[in-house]
Amino acid sequence: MSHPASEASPAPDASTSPVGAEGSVPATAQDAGPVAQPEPSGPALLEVKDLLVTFGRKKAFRPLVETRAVDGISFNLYQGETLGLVGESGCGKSTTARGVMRLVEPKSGSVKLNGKELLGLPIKELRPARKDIQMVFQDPYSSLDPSMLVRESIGEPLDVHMKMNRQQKTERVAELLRLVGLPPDYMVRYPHEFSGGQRQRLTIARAIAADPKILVLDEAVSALDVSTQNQVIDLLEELSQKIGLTYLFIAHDLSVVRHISDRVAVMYLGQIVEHGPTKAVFDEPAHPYTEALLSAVPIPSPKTQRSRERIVLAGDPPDPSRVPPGCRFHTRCAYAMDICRTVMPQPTPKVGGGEVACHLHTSGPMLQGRSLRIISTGSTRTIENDAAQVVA
Amino acid sequence: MTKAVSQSASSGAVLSDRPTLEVEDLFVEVLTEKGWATVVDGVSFSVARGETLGIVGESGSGKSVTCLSITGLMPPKQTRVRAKTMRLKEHDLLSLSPRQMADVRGPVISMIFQEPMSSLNPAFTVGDQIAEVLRRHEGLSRKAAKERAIGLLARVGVPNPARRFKQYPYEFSGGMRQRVMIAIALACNPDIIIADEPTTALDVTVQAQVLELLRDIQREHGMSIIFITHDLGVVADICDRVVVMYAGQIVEGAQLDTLFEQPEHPYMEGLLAAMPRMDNSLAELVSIPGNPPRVGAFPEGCRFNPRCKYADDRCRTGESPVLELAAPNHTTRCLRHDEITLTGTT
Repeated sequence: MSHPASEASPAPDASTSPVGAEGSVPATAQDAGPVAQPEPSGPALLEVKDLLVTFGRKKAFRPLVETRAVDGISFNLYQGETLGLVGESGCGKSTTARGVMRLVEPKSGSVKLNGKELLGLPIKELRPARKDIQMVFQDPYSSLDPSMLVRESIGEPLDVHMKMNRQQKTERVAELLRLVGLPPDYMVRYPHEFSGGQRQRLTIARAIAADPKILVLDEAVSALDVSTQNQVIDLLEELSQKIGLTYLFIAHDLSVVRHISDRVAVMYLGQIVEHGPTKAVFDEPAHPYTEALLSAVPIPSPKTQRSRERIVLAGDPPDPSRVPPGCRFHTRCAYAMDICRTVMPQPTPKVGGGEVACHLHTSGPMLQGRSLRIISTGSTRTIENDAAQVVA
Repeated sequence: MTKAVSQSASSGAVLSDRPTLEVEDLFVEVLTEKGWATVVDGVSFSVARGETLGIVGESGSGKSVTCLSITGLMPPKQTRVRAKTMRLKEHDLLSLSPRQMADVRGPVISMIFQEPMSSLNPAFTVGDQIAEVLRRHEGLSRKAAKERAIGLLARVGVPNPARRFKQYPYEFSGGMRQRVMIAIALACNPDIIIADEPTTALDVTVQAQVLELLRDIQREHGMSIIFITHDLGVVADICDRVVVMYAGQIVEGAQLDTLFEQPEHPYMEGLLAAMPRMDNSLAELVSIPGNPPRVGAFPEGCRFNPRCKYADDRCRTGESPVLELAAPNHTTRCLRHDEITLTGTT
C-alpha cells in the first residue's frame, strides 16, 4: 500500500492476504474472532494478489492525475465455484476483470492461473496461457460482429486456440450451440436474427468454445429482461455442472448475485471491503457499506419493503482519482469514528468465514467480525455527512 | 362487458374526486418498414390526485409509447394516435394543437426520462435549462427565473446550488443529473409527473436517494406520478396502484398489495416468480419460457398464450381476450382466471 495514511496502520502486511486464504491473516485478529466455516481449500484455480491497475490523466499544464481504479485487491477462485463481485459503477469491478485478463495492463501485483504467472508474460506466451479464462460482456448486441455468421463468430476461438479442420469445426460449433440450448442449424444465421437472450447464449457458446476453465461474466445478464435473464442464469448453472466451469460473476444487481454465487466480494473505490460465503455476507453484513448497499435494493414484496430498515447514503461515491484518506468509505459512513478518517482499515476475519476491512471490528465497538446488526438502530436512517456533500 | 370494465377501470381509483388523468381505449400505431404496426392496443387507465400509478412491463411492451403519446411527444409523421378519451384535468388532449400541447407540458404534466445525460443539452448550463422552463411558462424575468431555479436545485438536494447553477451537465454525476431533471420537471408545479425508468441507469444507493426525493416531493405538492419501470422491487417501493403491460395491452391492473399477493394473470405470476429476491436465495428462479412477441407479430388469441403454462385451446384462437373484473378494482385479461389459482408473493 503506498497510500500515505496506511503507513500508520498496525498491520500493513495484512492487506496482502488473499481472499479465501485464512492462514495469512494477522495473528492478533485471528485470536480475537472465532473462524467458522473455512473457505474452499486446495490449490486455487486463479490466484490474484495485490492487483493494482492505474489510469493516468494528463491535462495541459497540470500534473498527472493518477486514478488507482483497482488498488491492491486479492482474491482466490477455486475449481467449480462462483465468486460474485459486486459494487457500484466506478468501483473497479470491471477493471479488475480486465486486469486479470490483461486487457488493461496492471501496474503491479500477481495473477496466477493454475499456478502460472500471467503478468509479465510476453504476448506470444500469454495467448495460450489465457485460453483457460474467457469473458462474456454485458451487451450482446455490440459483442457479436454483425457481418459474421454465427458459425464464424463461435468458430473464431477454435481457429486461435485449436487446430481444427473445416469439418471438425462445424461439428464443434453444432455441439456448442446444442450446449447453450440453440438448434445447430442456427449457425448459418447472422446476429441480427436473434433476440437479446439468444445473442447472449451465442456469446456464451463462443466463450466456452476453446474449453476454458474459468468464465468471467461482466454484467452478462444485466441487459436482459427479467424473463430472459433467468433463462441465461439457468444455462450458466447447467453449464457449470455439465462441463465444470468456474465463474467470476460481476454484477451490480445484488439479487442475481445472491442467487448465483457461492462466495461474494464487495468492492468500494477499488478495494474489497468485505468478502465471504454468500449467505454470511447477505444475512450478516459486517461492513457498513455492505449494509447500506443491501438495504438500498428494493425487495419485490410491498409488505416486506414497507417494513424494512432503510439506510439512505448521502452523496455519490467519491471520485476515484481523489480518494479520501483513511477508510475510503468514511465520508458516507454512519458509524465513522476518528480513526476512520486517518488510518486505512486492514482485513480481519469474519464470523462465518471471509474477511472485512473496517475499524468497527478492531476498535470502537470491537465487533470482531460479527454482524453489524448488533449495533444498528433498527430504524430508518438518513446519513447526513458534510464531507460527502463537498466531494459530490 | 368490455364497456362496463373500461369504465370501472377508469374510475377504479380509491379517491372519490375526478381523476387527474383519464385515458380510455388508447391506440398507437407506428410506421415501420413493413407498414403501420399497432404498438399500444386499447389501453385504459386513470390516475387520481396524489396517486402513484406504476406501469410495469418488459422492453417492447408499449409502456413508454403510451406515455409519450399522452404527452404528445411521439414523432407526428410516423405515429397515429387515437383514443376514446384522453383527458388531463380540464384539457382534452385529443383536441389540442401542438402549440396548446406545449403550453400543457410543464405546468400540468411533465416527464423524467431514463438517461439524464441525453435528456440534458450539453451546450447549456444546467441553470439555463431550468430557467428556460420558468421563462417560457411563467414569463419570469431572467433574474427571477434564476432565483427560482437555484431554489429548485436546493430543493432536489443539489449541494451548492448557486455554484451548480452555472455549471454544465458534464460536471454532474448521474445521480445529480437525474436530480436536475427532476428540478426541471418540477419547475412549474405540474399536477402529474411521468417518470420513465428514472432510476434504471443509477446505482442502487443513488436509486434509493432519488426514490426518497420523489416521495418527499409528492407528499409536499400532492402531485400524481406515473412510474414506468420493469423492476418489481421499485414498484413495491413507490407505487400505490399498478397496471401490467404485455405486447401493447394492459393484462392486469390492481392495487399494489393485491397485485403482488394475489395476481390474476399468469404473466404477472411469472414475473413475480422470475424476480430473484435478495432476502431469499433459496427460492428457485422460475423462467418464463420463450421471448416476448415482436411488434407486428403478436400471436392469435391471448398474446401471452405461447408462453403460458395454463393456456388451453380457447386461449390460442380468435381475438385477444378483453379485460375483465376478477375482483373489485382488479382487472385481468386472462380467460381462465376463474379456473386457475395463481401464486403471488408475501
